[in-house]
Amino acid sequence: MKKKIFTLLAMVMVAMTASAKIEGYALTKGANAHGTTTIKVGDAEADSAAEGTEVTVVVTPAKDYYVATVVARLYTTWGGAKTRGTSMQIDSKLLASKVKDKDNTYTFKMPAANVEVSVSYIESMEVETKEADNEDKAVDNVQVGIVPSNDADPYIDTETGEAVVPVEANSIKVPDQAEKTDVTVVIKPRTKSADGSVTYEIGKIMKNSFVTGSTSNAQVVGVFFEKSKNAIVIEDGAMTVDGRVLKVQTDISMLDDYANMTSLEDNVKQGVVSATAKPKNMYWTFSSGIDVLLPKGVKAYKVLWNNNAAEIVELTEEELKLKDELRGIKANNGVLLSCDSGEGGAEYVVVASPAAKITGAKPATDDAKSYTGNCLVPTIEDYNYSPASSYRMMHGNKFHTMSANGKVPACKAVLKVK
Amino acid sequence: MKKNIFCKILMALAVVVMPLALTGCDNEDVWAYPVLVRGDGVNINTHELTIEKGKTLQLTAQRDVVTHGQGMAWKSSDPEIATVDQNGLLTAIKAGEVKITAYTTGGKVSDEGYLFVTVVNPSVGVVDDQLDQSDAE
Repeated sequence: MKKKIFTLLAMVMVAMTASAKIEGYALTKGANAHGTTTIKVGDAEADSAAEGTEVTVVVTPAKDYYVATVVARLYTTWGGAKTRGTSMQIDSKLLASKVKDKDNTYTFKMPAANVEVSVSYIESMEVETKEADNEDKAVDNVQVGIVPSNDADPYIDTETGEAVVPVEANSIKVPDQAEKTDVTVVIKPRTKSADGSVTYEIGKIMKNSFVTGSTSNAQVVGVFFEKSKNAIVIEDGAMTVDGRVLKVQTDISMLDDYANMTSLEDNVKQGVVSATAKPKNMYWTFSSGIDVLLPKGVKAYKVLWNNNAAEIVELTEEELKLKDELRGIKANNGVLLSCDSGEGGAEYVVVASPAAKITGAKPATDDAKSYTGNCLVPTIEDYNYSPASSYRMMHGNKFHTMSANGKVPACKAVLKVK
Repeated sequence: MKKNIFCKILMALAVVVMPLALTGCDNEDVWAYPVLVRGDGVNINTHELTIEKGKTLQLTAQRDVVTHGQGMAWKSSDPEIATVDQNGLLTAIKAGEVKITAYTTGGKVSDEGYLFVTVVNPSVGVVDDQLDQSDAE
């Protein structure tokens, strides 16, 4: 009898345990190519957890690998097969968050659904090279070594749904070339990983990132920074290789952001920090947060607003005079430029003045008003002018009234008429 | 009597012909004739011209009387605003107002003509069509 009661009790306990397990949701391991993953609830490894329970994921990467993302995705099972994303909004959500000061440990609150934990790793990133000045030869298979950023955590871009991993560049590998080859490296703000699982976002260039080694017959002579939301931080010395100062090129809207960096001071002094402008028409407006040299084949004007007419007055040699007797456009002034050819379409190289004052800070956005009577206002950063009726903007060689929509792009200027 | 009549006729002829003989080819030395300055865009009634800075314009000086042995010269009241060379080529230098004079040389009396020139800055067209701000060039 006692034995029967004991057996019944045991069966009830088993049944209770089973019912408790039904209340929980499954925790499974997904992709993990270069390390091991341990999923825990409390201190014990777990393959299920109740809603609201804190789940910890500990990742141990293989040697020379860094964790890129830890993604916890919800899924349901149907007929034994996993069906991801009963709710696709949740499916693409990064649930895990990194525990501060505890490398490779991540936590999340268990949702009311099964969860699959996948880990991706940072691998070197392929970059393009660019032909420049007909001296540099583009080469293939150039890899930049990257490590996770110390300043930012991975996140999901709400616009694109991409898992974005902030990284820092720390080395470069250029395949050996048959003959001595100069390379200009193109740094895009975002690059898909080789397997397409994550998107790398370069936030910093570390020293020695572009050193190819004394035995290599390929050398980096320049770096082109494509347009990005924020300028990439450049560590001191990163743009000098073996005593050679690298050419730094960027989008015209970011010339002042880069030229104002103290880490690029030597490059600015050598006159190798530049951007290329390709105006669509003969007349184009310009402004910059740093002094720039006036490109050849271009004239600079201030614009006066008289009796509802936009009068243009060419800047005098005195007005064009920069520090150290250089000739160009002073920082934080709006100017109108015209192509001597009488039409647009050609490219003009705008060089940061070697004598420019480098602040090390983000360029100021105010109007320096260096040219008497000038009604052009500099647009140092993308800006929406309001009320729009107080301004006119250049387009197709004429000044137009403008709507309240959109933003005037950085490095342009608008005509203030009221 | 006949001799008397003949003398009177001679004297009358002398009275008519002498002044003509005295003036002869040098008549512009004593009589002033206006000089008219012409050129594309010149208002010959008001003697005014508006020209954009940096532009040039060929001016001509016209007199109603054809003269011999006299030259025509040009001058600007303010060469910093506009210059004119001795062939009448006007060059607009900077915004402002200036008086251009064409005058005869070589005679006892110099005839003159004027042109009042206003030099303006070039202008760029203005259109009222409300473009999106991101279209700024």
